[in-house]
Amino acid sequence: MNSFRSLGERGGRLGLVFAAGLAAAVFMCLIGTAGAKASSVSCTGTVGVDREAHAEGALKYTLKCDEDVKGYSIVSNRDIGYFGTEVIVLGADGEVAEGESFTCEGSIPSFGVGCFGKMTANNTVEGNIGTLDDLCEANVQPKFWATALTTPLVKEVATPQSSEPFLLSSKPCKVLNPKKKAKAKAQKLCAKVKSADSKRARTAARKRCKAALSAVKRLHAA
Amino acid sequence: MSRSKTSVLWLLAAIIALVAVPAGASAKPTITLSGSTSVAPLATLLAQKYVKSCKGCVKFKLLQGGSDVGIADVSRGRVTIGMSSRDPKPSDPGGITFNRIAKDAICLVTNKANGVAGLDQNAVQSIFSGSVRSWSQVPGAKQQGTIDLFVRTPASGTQDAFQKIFMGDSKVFSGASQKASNGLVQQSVQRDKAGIGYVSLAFTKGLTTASYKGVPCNLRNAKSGQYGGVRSFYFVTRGAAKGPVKKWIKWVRNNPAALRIAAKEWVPFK
Repeated sequence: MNSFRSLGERGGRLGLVFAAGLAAAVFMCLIGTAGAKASSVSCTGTVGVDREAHAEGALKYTLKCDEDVKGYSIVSNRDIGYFGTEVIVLGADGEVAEGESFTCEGSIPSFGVGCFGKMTANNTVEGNIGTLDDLCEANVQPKFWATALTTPLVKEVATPQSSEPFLLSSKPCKVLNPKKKAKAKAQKLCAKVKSADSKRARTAARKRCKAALSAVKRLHAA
Repeated sequence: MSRSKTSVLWLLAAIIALVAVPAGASAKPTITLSGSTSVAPLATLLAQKYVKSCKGCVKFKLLQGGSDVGIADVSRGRVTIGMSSRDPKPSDPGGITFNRIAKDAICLVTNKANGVAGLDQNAVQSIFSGSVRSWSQVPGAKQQGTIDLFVRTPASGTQDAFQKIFMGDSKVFSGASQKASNGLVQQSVQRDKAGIGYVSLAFTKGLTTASYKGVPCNLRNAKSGQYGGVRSFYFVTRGAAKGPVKKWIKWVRNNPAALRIAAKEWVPFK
């Protein structure tokens, strides 16, 4: 209370403006929260390596929802460097669903992509996304989420509603930071060449160093 | 200084910091692109490689909408590059520059069950102008009944290039189903055994591509210049390209990595 009084009375008009602005912002937030309605849609999906795609680090994702969808976003904890610009929808029969597709737009690099179009409930969207760096070259496992946009009728009016993020299932990386780890291992092994106290030990260390360096090379080439 | 004044100053500093941080973060130049759905797949691949090779020197924001949208957007300064899959037209706004970046083949496509092997210009004009409406009138067609035509919307560069290259003075049948993107034409023909349309070479998966004037629509024939249905891809700029955009276009046209990417499904600049 003291600080409010001091802002209002002694701090002059500036303080009053800040206090009023803050109150208005809080009020607007409350109104917004009360008016918003969470979407009831549930979605599932997968992400996996796509060896057929042209893009570097290309992944194929699928997304299936139990309501008609007008748009979706794919978000990741990796930098996204590529996304398929036109995405097809498959029906339950595995054939392309007539008149259903998505156009995707976004930034490179970014943490995801946004797509708009349409998909009937229980059909599956199949698209591509690509990470900027190697998928497993990080300290945490890669994760991908999808958020769907639905437009259910609320009092006869089509009302856009955004879903919660759904985690897409994916195979975890066997090793995180494989390049970084291989490089550190090579450095450690190669340092032992100099410190080896006999000719025999030096030869063995040199052999191990060479093997570790070629492992690093192999990883970078892959 | 009184406590109240100090707290007001702290509040001000916090607000300035909040405003200043995003401004600092956006110091990296952003190249915005909009336009052709045919150019977009190539642009995303090139953007990915460029961001990697220049170690994040720029950020790209890619939108679509069709060539006419890209050209209108760049002329109004809404984006830095308009993607166009058609040549310049006299009706285009002034002060824009078309920078050619690659070439692309437009393929005539039918459903796999129909599989029309080849069409000459006369047959293409007859089918797409609507003067031939039945598959029984098309030599080599396995399908019977009415031909379902799938064309592109007027804002499309592919539509413009198709009109110019394949149709000449003949007009596209007004009863044809208009689609907003290559992907939608691809999908419609894939679903419709009586369907025929035209798409960028990169969108022919799952379809039968018909030879045009006896030359199959494939990358080799497009690169050699034998295939007649080839058009140019452009990055359109407002005036001459400058700064990061100039650098990016130069990289797209000359860098071996960029040329390798373009050569996967398109005809590279060099």
